[in-house]
Amino acid sequence: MLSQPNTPAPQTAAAAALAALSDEDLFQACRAGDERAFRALVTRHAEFVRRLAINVVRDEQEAEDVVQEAFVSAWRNREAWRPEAKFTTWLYRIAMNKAIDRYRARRATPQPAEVIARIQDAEISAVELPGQLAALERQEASTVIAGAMEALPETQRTALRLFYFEDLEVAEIAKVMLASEQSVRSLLKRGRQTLKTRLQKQKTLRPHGSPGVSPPARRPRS
Amino acid sequence: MDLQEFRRLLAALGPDLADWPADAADEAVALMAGEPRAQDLFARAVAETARDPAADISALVDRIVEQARRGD
Repeated sequence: MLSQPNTPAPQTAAAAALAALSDEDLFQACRAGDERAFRALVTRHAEFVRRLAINVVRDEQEAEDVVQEAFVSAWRNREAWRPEAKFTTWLYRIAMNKAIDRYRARRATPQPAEVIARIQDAEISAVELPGQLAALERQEASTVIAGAMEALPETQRTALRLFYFEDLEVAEIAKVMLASEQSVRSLLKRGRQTLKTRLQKQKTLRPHGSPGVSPPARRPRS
Repeated sequence: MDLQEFRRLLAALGPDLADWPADAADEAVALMAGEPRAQDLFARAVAETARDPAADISALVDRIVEQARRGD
């Protein structure tokens, strides 16, 4: 629990005393719950961590989110820090890993138009129908699949996109989504099942809708 | 990408990944994800680049301390 000392020293004297402490001494004080020590550390390093993050994520707001997550994570995991380790090395690695996760999540999440195009590539293009009819029905089917995907819960949709359209392995998806591998497997299973049920329902409701839509097949790795 | 190639590109292009070819940036991030030495090199490169005028981070500091207080 963060706490203020019971008898705070005058502001300037306290600030001067904190400023004279090393990062490691300040973090030792943080481990004892000293809020002013934590604030001093954040004030001392937030700007650099923000610069570190922005070079990776390229977005001011996301960079601030990384700074916030990194410091809060350092606070929550303060018992994991070893006093013989340099505090900034430890902090920067936490921040870099947060920034890397965001970079990957952004790169791994296709834009809607790109998803539709990939659905067409991955599944619909396999349906062979003649001429313009084929094109029309492929377009119709891609709309159906895209609609069914968009109706999925966010986590299922993300897991399916990463698995089928970004070719990530379960372990990689777990890292991107900050979830366990078991959770990812469960999301994929439920997402596939929901998608399959919805597509079958669409097919039943549209007896002339022919392109035989089904959940996307995973693209072979090149 | 190995550490040597990463170091070479970092020296040539700087730490702003927006200046890197997209494929190389992806490979650099993949390397940094599993190689702490690459992260350290990156942090050093950021420290060595000219900095913009420091932003006002007081509101951010307040948010961080508040979140730590709440979540503890």
